[in-house]
Amino acid sequence: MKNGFWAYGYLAALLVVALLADFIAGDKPLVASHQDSLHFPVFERSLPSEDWATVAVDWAIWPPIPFRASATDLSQPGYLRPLSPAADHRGIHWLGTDRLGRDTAAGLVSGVRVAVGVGLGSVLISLLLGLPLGAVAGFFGDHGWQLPRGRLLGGVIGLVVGGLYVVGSIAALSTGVFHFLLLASLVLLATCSGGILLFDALGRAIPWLRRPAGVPIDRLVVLLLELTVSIPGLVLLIAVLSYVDRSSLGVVVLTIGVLGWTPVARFLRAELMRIRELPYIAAARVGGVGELRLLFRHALPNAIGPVVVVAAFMVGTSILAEAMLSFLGIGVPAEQVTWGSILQQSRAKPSAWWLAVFPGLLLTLTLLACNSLRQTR
Amino acid sequence: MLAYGLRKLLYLPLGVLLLSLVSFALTWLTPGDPVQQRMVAEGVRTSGVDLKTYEREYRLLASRLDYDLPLFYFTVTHAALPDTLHRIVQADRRQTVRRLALRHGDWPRVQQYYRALLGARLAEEEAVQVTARRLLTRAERPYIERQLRGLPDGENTTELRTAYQDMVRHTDRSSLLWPRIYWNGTENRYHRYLLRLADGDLGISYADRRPVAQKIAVALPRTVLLNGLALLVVYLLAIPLGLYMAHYHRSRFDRWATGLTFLAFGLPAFWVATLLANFFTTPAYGMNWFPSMGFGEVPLGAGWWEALSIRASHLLLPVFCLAYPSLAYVSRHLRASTLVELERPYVKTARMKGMTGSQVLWRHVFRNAAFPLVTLLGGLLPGLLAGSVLIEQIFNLPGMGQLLYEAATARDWPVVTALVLVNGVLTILGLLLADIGYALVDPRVRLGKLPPR
Repeated sequence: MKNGFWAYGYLAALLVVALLADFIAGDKPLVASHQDSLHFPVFERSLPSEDWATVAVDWAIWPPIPFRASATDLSQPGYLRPLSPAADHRGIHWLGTDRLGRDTAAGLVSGVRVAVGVGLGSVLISLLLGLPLGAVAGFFGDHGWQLPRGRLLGGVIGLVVGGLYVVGSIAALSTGVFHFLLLASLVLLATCSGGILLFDALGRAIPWLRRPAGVPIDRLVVLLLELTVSIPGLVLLIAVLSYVDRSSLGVVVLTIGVLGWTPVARFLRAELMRIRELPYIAAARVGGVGELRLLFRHALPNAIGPVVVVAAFMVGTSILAEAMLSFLGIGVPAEQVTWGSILQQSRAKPSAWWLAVFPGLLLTLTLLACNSLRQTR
Repeated sequence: MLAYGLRKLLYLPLGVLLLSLVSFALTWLTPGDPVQQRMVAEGVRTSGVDLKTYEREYRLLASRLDYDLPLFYFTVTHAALPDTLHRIVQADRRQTVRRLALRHGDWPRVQQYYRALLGARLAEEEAVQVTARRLLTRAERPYIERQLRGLPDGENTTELRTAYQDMVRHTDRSSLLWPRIYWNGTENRYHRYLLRLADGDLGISYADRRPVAQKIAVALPRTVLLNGLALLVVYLLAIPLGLYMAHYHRSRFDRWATGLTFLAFGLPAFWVATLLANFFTTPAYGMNWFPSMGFGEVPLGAGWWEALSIRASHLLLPVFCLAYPSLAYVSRHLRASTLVELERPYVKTARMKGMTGSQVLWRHVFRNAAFPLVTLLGGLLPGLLAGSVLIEQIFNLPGMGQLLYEAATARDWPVVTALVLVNGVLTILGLLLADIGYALVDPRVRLGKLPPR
């Protein structure tokens, strides 16, 4: 399709720019000859000096945008218009500068890297959370997974007891996050299986415990979904991020990702609810395929295509959320140059139109590309 | 219908309860010592007063704010910690005692050491006093040992040293493995927090010492006005747009409208708002046509036309920016559902009866195609509330979004947590009304034939 083609091309270009950001914008030459030896300063650290602009090189090939995004230039007044020459005649500020003389084009390249990182990273986290929950809820429903009542009861009681013990003792004993996770999962495994064994033994005496009952997975997941949806995302995002002492992009990615699990889970659940009723699933079941194998080998592969499209759409919304947050200056480190932070700068100086137009244009194109991926299917 | 409504109503208390837990957890996570912050907020002198007065003030305030109570209905812990730890009201001291107990595992001996410190902090000798006060807030082993070594000999010093050595010698961390659960009853902070919420007491803003409830009461109507206007615009414009896009399917109008709504859905509203604010509310480009902040003051005795035009000039741009993404979304939805309905046999029947195209569209098709619009209302609300954070900030409108932004950047925790709660309750109410409204207009939902969302 013609419509989808430019979108794929644009997103691929964005990815390439994000990967090659150091070669496109930076204050180090790509290749430089210095005192008869060849240097590749982008790869090397601190040779022969940090500031390559002051080094007398024999010859050098500079990146197309020879500025670092965060490098300020106070020797000239700020807000240079697009296409004005730089102070030391090292190059041209193609898209102008901001108040502190930082190059807008370099800032945009750095923003591409941030946007791609945040978009892909947070969607990956959302998928990690949303895929299992949505798949299990949609495929098994409330009655698809039958267990003897005793096992169900024992497992739940074991999990609750183990959870309390983890909160009470393990959290105080453990020395690090990894240590804690290891100990906690061991304890939970032990108590859960202990509860199941105990109630299995009890079930020999009480027939009521042996009768099968459906695990209400679907109802639980839907409840979780409805409760998560009832909190306005950006409001919670701002509130949570304002609690973080040292702002970092990792925390932003994590928070956006964790709060974004609902669309994936909702969509996959609906898709699997449709697929599990299809004749080929029934046929496979009659053929003796186990339930888990049915889910992973037969049902999920058919549902994953549409989910990828939803994920592509969510990359767009995550990038938008990151842009909004950095526009507000919450959660994203102050020295990190992003599309949102450049846009924010234009508010202090409305006549510097290049600060408002270019980052917004990139953001819009990205969102349109992500949206149109969903359209083409 | 009643059963359906009741079932949906059950979500309301559950959702509010969860929200109160989230916002309570946020108050609990608040960095720093909340009692001390509140003392600053209330203007209590903290420097220059002697220790005993300070401690008394602290204790009074802590008990007024319930910081001398346990956190929740029950406490899950282990044998190294007692059920009475919360009675040490000062946050830094409680932290110290906690860390000591976790390191040495023997609560009676830790308590002995703490008591010795408490005795020493009011000792005769100046040096002992100062050291004891320092030790009350530090738990690092080398630090304690260095400080104890430097003490002048005396009664307090001997007691401290023996208590410390006793504690260190009997270190046994195995007590951490023994779980303990204590039941606290209703005398806990969460319960009191809920009771206060029911009273409408949301705490005091650290920024200007005003009650949070009062600040929100000022901001809420403005945000509701903004969002209400935006919703009105969305539905007034989206319904005819969506219907006629489907009616003139594949015409030039349909193609243009589809393309435009696609574009509008992708254009980030805060960028458009920034551009509009930069171009039309500042003199930078000679197009300073709109005022740049506030909702506008209507002078006393002004005619309704004057009042309306003042308000309109302030609200036109923000309402536009808030409305257009939802407008695009709703009209595309309506177009899709109308296209489905237009294929139905009853449309053909109505045509055969001799009704004109627009009569069929508005009397028959619209009613059937518009059912999902009721539910969309519920989904739009969180988006609008979130969007107004940015729009209010860009157009300098002092509503809830602006309040949230200012509170979050100024680290004004009571306001932030209260706003999460209020926003959540508003969203839950919106979703609930949408669900019930849907069931009222479409009997299929009540009978469980269609999932509402």
